[in-house]
Amino acid sequence: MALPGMQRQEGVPEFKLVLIGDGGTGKTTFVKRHKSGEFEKAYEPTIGVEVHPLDFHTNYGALRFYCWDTAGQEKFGGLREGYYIHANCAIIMFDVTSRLTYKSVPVWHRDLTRVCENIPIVLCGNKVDSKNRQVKAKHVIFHRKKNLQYFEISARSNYQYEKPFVYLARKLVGDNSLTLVKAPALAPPDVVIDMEAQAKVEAELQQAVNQPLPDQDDDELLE
Amino acid sequence: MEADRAALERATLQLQSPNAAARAEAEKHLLSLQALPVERLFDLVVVVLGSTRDVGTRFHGVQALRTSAVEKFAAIAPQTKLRLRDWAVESALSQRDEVVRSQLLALCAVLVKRSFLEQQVEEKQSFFSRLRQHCGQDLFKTQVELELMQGIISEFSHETASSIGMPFAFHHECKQGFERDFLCHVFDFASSRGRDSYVAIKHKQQQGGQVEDQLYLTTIASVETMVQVLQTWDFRKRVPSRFFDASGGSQGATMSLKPGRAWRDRLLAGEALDWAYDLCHAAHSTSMDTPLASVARQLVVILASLHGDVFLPDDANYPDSPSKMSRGAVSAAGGSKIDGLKLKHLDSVQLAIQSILHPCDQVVSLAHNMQNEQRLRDGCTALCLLAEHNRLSVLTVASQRRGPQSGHLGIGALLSLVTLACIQCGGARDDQIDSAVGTSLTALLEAWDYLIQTECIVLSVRQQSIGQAQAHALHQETGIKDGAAHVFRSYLDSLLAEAAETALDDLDEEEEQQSLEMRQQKLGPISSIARVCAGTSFALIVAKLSEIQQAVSRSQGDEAALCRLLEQMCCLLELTGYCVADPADGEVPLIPILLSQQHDAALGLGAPDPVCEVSNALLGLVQKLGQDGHFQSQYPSPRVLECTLQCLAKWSATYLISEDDKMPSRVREAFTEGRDTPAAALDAVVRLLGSTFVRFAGESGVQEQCVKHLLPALVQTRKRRVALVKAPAWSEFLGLYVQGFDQLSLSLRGDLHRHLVKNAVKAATKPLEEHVRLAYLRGLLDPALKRVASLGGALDGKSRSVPMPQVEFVLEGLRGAAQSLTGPGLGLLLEIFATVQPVLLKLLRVQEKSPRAVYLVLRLTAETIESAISDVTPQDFVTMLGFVYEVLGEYKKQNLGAVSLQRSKALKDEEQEEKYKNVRALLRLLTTLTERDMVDFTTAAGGGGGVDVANATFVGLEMVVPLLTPELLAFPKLSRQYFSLMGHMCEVYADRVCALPAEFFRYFVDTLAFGLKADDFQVVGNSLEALYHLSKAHLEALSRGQPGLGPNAQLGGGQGTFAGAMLKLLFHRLVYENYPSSLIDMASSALLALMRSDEAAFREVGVGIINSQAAPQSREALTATLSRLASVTAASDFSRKSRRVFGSEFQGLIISIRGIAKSV
Repeated sequence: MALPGMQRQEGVPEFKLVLIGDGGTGKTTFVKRHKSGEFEKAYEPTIGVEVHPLDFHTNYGALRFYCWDTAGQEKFGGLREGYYIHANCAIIMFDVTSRLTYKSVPVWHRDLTRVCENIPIVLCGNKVDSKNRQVKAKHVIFHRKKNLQYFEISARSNYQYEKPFVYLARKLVGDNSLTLVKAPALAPPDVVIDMEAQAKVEAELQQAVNQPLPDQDDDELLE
Repeated sequence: MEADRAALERATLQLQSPNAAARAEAEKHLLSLQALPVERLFDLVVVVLGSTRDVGTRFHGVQALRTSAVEKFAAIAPQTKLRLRDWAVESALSQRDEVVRSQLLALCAVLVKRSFLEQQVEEKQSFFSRLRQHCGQDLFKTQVELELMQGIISEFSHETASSIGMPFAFHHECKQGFERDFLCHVFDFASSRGRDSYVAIKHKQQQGGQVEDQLYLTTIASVETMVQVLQTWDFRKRVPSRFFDASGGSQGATMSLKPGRAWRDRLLAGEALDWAYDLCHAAHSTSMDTPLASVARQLVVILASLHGDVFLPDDANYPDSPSKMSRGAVSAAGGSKIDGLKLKHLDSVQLAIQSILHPCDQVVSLAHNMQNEQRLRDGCTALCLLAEHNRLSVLTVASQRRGPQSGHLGIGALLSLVTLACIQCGGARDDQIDSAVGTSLTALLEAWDYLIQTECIVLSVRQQSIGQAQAHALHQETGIKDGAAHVFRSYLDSLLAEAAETALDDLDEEEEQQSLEMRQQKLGPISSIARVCAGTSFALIVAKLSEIQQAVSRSQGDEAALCRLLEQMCCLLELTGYCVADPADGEVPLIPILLSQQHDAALGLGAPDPVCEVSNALLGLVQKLGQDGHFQSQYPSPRVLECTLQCLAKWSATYLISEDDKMPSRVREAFTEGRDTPAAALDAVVRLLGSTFVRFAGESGVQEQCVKHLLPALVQTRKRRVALVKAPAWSEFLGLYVQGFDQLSLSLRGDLHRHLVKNAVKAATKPLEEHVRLAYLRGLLDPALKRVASLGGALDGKSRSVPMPQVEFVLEGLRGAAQSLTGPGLGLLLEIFATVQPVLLKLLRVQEKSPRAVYLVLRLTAETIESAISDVTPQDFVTMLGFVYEVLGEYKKQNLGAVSLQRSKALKDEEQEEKYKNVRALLRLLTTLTERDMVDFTTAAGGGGGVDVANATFVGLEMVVPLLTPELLAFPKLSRQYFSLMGHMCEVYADRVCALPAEFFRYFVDTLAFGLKADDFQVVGNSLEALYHLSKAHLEALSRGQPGLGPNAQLGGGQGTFAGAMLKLLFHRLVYENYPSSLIDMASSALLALMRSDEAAFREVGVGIINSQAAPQSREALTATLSRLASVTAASDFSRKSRRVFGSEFQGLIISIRGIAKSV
């Protein structure tokens, strides 16, 4: 079934997704999800932006998010809002073990909505598997202020990994019954984006549619 | 200029290129624009805006100009600043493209903020009044003017301020100044423009004329500006900050509008906001959503959270029922019990919410079909906020003001209707939890919780004993109780139906875990609803429990039906746990107030107590599951056991032999003080524990519930511990443990054994006599100690090896003992420790291939020291340290060199994991040792022949520091642990760090350099502190004629002095790498010490920065600023006051240097 309001590129509708939030909140880990059994990964900050195509198989057929994984740290920020232009949707990520990263969410949101008005946005609290949680779920209220969808996720344990993507896909497609029919697969990074097709998709969407790291205590490691 | 414009266009296009290299090239070009002198970039952007049609190019041009202007603000000429600001506004007023306009307005807003403290109030006012005059009655220009106001508000609000490289004091001063001189005017302006344009819309509609879009757009911008002010501004007078308030609590973690008395007239008096409420009603008269309706809802949502001093305080003599209060409010003209303006406000907000949510079925159904989700979400959020900030009785009085004909449903009825509609639309189902209906239901359940609990707690606190009866009457009178009964029944039906439907789903482990967590998320919020109507809801639970048990016995043989029933049983047990008791979270839980209240109400009516009823039903099930073989055979599912144990743990923590002196009489009689019943209840609980260990050996989930939840509840209070130790069932359980130790070591996971022993040791408590207690503990620990001895024997034997799972099981058990044997158990702990030491050392020597053994020995040693450290005598501590030396020695022999991780981003195999964990365990051991520094006696050298904490720690550090490669330090947790320890050592033992052997010092400097360059706030902070203490100690030693760093002062390899190298590194980060402003303050003390240590290096750094500039005026400005920094440094010492003065001046100077030095 064709998705309403979208042009297919080789039969696959594509969306630009920007992934933003403070440094160290786990954006890159989230995008490059592994099942390698690692219990902690070394932190390597993203510089500027890295673009990853993420493919999902839904009951509407395949769809692809070009995920623009942006640098969270100011010093590696590159063009910052310059990357947001033409985004179809966004994920703002913070780390539930760091209050500062939650406090920065309003600024990320303000900067994003200044460039992209009325795109679906998901707020994600990452690292919910950690015992050292500092931002409790009941204290997360920003999404209510700004009418965003909020998900608690854990890039380490894959907890609710697909939820933000499914939500964004439902919003972009305009159907709540969209579901995944196959576990998400991660495509290799830095692949080609066909901007011409992307531009057409975006133009039509304008008419059709008015979101280190695994770290744990030793006790947990033993189990 | 034309070539630059074309290059910018090309780069903009390339940035979206499929080719990563082309994209990188484009990024490079766009970033290089920011390095241009501001004036030149400004000229280029003017050209671009005038002649380029491509939105992206214009966007990137303005964005580069904004970034550059902020960074180099200090270096821009005053006239250029004004010209830039005025040009940005002028361009925005004629800019139809929203993306470019937003960047222009952002540029203007940030310039207004950055120059705010440099201008007089009159100058600033003149800017705004000129702008107003310029816009006049032009609707589009007024819209842009309002958008600018929004941008300015967002820059001046702490919540959304851009950091712009300025210290917090600057931001705070700007915010205070803006609040004092401009904030109210912005709101008033937006409100008056909004009213005017809304009146114009209504007028045109009444005339039957066409309303032009711009009129709507200006109204929307007005309301958005009002929302922006109310939603973003922090009206609190204290100094909260996203910059420094990293440790801030949850005060700000709620949607709350508390603007204070000054806003009373603006928000409440006269007809200030009547037009906005009218707009909300009108915009929601149809089911179609519009941007105007959306923004009106946002305003209602924020107004629903209004509270605080803006209202007059309630009368202290609180009436006991709403109807009584209503009469009081009406009759007492001018002196009502509740602020009249507050009642009017609450009435207006409730009616507005009703207009958003009514008719409930239709609104919920539209949201369910994704046709208008936001309407439901906003309405429910507003309802939740209203309930959070206001009491049920006050809301009820407010809604009764207009009389019964007003069409006001009242908060209780509206809440019930919309909650039921959401449940009936499937909102409680797992697959809907993130949908609009699901999230709205979550908000509604929260609203129920607030309405029920807040009043109940307020009344109980205010009027003690009579409060509970009042709350009960209030819930009855407002319809909350009846509504809750309907909602609970509907919710329970939905839960059980879903449990049955999904019982046969084939989920993998991860999905199943998610599904269980999701259910638990849904159960918590329903507990208040269940409790407020406990008479009905608990009776329903009891009936369902019995119904399912009967159905289970009938369905034996029908596997599918049985599976569905067992899943329903699990669901019901989980729900019961949530309804009957609060989660303990480490505290001793008390009976929930609402249940205590229900007890009294039931007593008055001669009805059975709901808690006793549901407890008896639960204990009946527990008894049968623990002791009735036939019944057990009907429940083969470990999940049912897990859920039973989970529920039982909560129940036991609250009711079993409770020490809660407010426990209602019938509950107390049944489970605390009765002659036989409490003992029988305890017996049933412990027997279930025992039978579970036998029946479900190897089932980790079940055993985890036993040792991590139920057992801790049983040893939580003293009375319960005493009863437990005396209970025959407990003795039988321990007998099972002792006799079945070998068997258990094969089926019980090591960490669960640790928890089991830890809690069993904790059970031995006063007032048990000392000899009884010791006999109990020795009996309990005997099998583990015997096993240690036999392991020792095996290690001496021919094979010289022992099976690792056995070692792990026994050492984990001993860790559990070490964790619990504090205080009076110290003697036994030391005895055990002395007994096991030789075996542990043998283990280290023989099990050289097992990093796991090393880890366990290190953790056991650290935990023993941790338990003993505050009570142990100096002599015993020396003995312990001696053992630590031996462990460290073995560690060094076995592992040094072997524990080097390959260069990789991740730990790839189990062995690497183990080695990483060993380094962390070692760091933890060393950190534990340093805790002795906090105990009030210094080194034990008197009795210990030169062995002290610092020696042992340095020996350990000498081992671990060479292993800390940059690759390893990139692991955040390890990194924080190491730098925290290093910070402590440099503060307490700075002289000894200065005198470290050269080779070791070199490693140490490398890690310090890593810490300074790190991204982790805590790591950088610890490194800066370490650097400060070290440099300060060096300088102070020199002044005393001592060597200080001595030969370590020179780093060798052409790197110059230690102070010089660190100084250059820090300066580079501060000036060129946008070190966060909050870290500049932390860096100032370290830099003061470094600049005083090596003045030549400071001069060299200064010359380098000056020479990087070509323009003479830049060089001149830098020379002056650096000279000022040098003179401030020379005048400062290390006293706290002096460092504070230096710190504040230093921030300003660094920001100036940064602004000038970044231009190329």
